[in-house]
Amino acid sequence: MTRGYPPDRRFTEYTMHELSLAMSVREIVEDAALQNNSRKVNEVNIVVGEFSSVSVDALEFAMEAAKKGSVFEDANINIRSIKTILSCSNCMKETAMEDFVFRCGSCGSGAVTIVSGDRMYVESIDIETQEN
Amino acid sequence: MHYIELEKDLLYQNDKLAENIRKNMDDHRIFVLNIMSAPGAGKTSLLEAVIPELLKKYRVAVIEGDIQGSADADRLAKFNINVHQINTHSLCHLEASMIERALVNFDLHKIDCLIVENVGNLVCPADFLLGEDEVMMVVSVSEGHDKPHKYPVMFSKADVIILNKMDIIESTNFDMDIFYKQVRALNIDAEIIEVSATKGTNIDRLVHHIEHGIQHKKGHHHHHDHGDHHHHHE
Repeated sequence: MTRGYPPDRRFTEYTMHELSLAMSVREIVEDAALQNNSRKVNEVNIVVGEFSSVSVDALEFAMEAAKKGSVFEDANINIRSIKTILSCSNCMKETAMEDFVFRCGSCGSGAVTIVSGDRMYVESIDIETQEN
Repeated sequence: MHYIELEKDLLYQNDKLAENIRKNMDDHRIFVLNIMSAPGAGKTSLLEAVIPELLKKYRVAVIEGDIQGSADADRLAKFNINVHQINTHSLCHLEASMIERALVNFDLHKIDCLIVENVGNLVCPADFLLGEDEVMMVVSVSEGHDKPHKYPVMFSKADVIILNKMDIIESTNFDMDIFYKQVRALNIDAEIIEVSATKGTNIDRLVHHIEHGIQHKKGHHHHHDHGDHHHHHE
């Protein structure tokens, strides 16, 4: 695998990109909590695709800053990395992308498109419902 | 305890804003180019070569994205065009919200082509749509032929790839075959244009490419008058 090395960047550069994404997580979670009438979130599950520009370590770090004063201040933040899945229009199979090359893992054709693994999203949250 | 499925994209807000910008640009028939590269690949030199040619026929405006300072915007001031500088202050990329704010500085009725020079960085800008028609990636021979392998996301998203500094290729160990092979493993469609911005080599081909985009934008967008907008509901 070509990735997985810690990025050789200065501290601020290391965190700033992920911090803006962490703030986006905060917005999504705050919104969802509000809509579901909850003031406390226990768990936030985030999925990061391998074919996105995000470092899981840096996002974890940024989430610590982003959760302060939010409904998920004490929540467990789980960040899961997923592989890139390619769909082949030649053999119609779906395979995992290897070494960031656009080639079908089954028939070797280059006629592939990304199905998943190029995005990052908040998969789910676990909230505490309001007690009267 | 209550478990809620969300599946909410982290870039949702940015994508939505980018879509709004795109519609706004479509309405004004402005061709928008988002230029990305590593620092020092020659984005601004390329603009200095291309803009005077474009200005012979078209009205050009530029948004400059830099972490700090206005050095790039100052270099373009001599062309007497509207240039707006965005300083991102340690943020490594431009976001759609910054473009939206910058656009108030322009008269959109007087622009044919808006060039956005992104922050020099081969990683993060690739994820953030800005409402562009085309992503142009600039890479120089001095950076080495293995860049596509190292930055697959950006190379896969480029609509056109400019290989710059061809005039000094003899002084480097840049291997053209390996570069093309690596690019094509990531991106089958992108046109690759080999240029030298400072020597002016093959700049006409790049100008032609941009001109094609401007013309396409003008021709293919059907005209509608005020009060006759079509609204699409999602």
